[in-house]
Amino acid sequence: MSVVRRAIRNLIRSPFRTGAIVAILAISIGLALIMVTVHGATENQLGAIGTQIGTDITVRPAGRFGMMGGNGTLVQEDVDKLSDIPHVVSVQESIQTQYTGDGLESAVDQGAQGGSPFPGRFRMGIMVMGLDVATETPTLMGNARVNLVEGRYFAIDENDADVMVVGKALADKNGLTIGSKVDINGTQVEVIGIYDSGQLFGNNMLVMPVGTVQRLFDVGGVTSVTVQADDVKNVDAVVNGIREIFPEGVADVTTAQDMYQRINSSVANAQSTSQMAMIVAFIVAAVVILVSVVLMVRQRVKEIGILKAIGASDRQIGLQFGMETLAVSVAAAIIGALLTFPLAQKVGDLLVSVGNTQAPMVGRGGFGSGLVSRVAGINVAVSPEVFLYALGIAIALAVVASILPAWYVSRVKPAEVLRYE
Amino acid sequence: MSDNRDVVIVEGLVKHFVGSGSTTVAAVDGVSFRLPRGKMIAVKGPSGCGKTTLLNLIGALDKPTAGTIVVDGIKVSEISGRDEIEYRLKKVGFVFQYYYLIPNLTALENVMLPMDLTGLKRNEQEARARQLLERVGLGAGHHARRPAKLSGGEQQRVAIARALANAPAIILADEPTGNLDSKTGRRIVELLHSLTREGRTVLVATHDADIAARADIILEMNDGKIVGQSPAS
Repeated sequence: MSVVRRAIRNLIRSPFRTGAIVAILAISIGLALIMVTVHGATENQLGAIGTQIGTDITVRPAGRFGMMGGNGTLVQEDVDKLSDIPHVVSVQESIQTQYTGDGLESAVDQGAQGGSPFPGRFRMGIMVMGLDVATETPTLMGNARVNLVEGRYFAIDENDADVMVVGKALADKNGLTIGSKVDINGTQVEVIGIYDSGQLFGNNMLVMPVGTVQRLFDVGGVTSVTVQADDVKNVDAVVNGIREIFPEGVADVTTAQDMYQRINSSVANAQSTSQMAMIVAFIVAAVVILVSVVLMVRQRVKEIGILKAIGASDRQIGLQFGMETLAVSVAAAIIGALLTFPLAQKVGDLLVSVGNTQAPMVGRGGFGSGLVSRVAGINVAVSPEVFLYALGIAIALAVVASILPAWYVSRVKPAEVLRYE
Repeated sequence: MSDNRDVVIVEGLVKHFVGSGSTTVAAVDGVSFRLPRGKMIAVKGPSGCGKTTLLNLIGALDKPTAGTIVVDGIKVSEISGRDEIEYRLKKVGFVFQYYYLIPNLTALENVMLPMDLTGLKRNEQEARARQLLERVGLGAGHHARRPAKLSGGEQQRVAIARALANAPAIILADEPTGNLDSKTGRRIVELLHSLTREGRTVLVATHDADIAARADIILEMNDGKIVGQSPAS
């Protein structure tokens, strides 16, 4: 009769007690595994996004946010120096200004947007974006994308050409088509493309090459520059280089990492919450197994006495209780690991949504909201490796929990425990 | 008087317990005797006279305060650790009033248990356990039953078979009939006595005069002392 068989027999002897212990332990281990999985997923998510956008550095006139605030523009002469900074891969310039002429009518009605209606049908101004002609994926304010529905984007040699791409709403409002010409501050500018950004404001814009905007609107520099470093680890060095050209007070320099940390606070919150919950779950699992083992050995003190009286050593008895503890732990770990598969993603989503409520900047629209929508959720993929973690946890718990019965068994005196029935 | 046939030699044995209020109680108080091999010895006396304590000391379940115990050449009063475990496993077999079988093991498995602790092969354990159960009068139909499905007398037979598992020199039986009706009790006593024919020494603690009458030697105890022995050594 092997120790393993005796251990299993003992567990089967009290199915309800064993079942209750396994159930509670399975929940604790399952929770710990879910938290391990969610924690790993959040780490991957933060790492992946960090790698993806971590090398972008944005330079804006000090205090400027979108069209608001700031001290005008960044001087072109200084902007041109940015590409000479070591580790800079690319420099993309952009300008934001407003068209206030009579040649076009805004597609956005102030009253229609829930604001206070003004007498005489006040209309929003038309935003003008000057973008780098070399930009492969042109992005507007609010991270609205320039998705062309008609025509084309600028060619590389059109940086100062009289061409523009217009938003669909603006085109519809003013009856513009490909080839239409519009008087912009005294110059006839040709419509070469129409885009749909999916946003009402985004579709009420004029997009022109940077040089064209500078000329037509008499702007001496740019309102925003995106500098890309060659590697995440060189971002700080590039920022220092930018700071030498644009000191504090002249320009605000924001790294994508800053932005990423800000907009990913929900994921980061989920990560810290999952870490805390993981520790709590481990502690609960350890307490559950310890309490159950203590109860088990105390209830079976007479059996320990009998085994000692017939010649079992403390090691043999301890091994039997250890096997029972291990069997309970492994059973609970397997169930806990199975629970991880359907529940991990749900718990991950829950933790991120809690994080969102704690981080009001995230997912509330405004600058960077498009990026937030891509990173605020986490994809919790449960791998079969979770069973290895479960086994590790089970063995660790069994080892920890076996110390106590081993100590208790060594203290049992058979003459005392067998004295009375 | 010493004889090489003596399997148990007890000299000046004392066991004190600390009672309530730090008072010391002498459960065994300066006991000396010698027991020959192959005899049934009854330790007789009223409850609380020290019979169980004496058996526990001889069986190395407890440590004496003073004195020496030698069983089959082993100085039981001086052994500890691995030697003590080996002694309990191979030199003595215990039979208790309440049988003390492991409830979730079958009769057969209960008898196999002491052999398993020695590391004997499973098939050898099983063969010997079956043989022993037959020897104590428990047929094959009862071997797969758990203790709860056996009568008191049958459980005590399993306990005796378990005590014999590792062929000990001495069987220590503490009130083995105390929980049985008189008819069953007499059969158990006969069974225990029959073991002496195989050269084993059987030491029975009892306050039952009928059992004592069946013993080869009677040690009478009172207040922790041997107050009489018959036949006199």
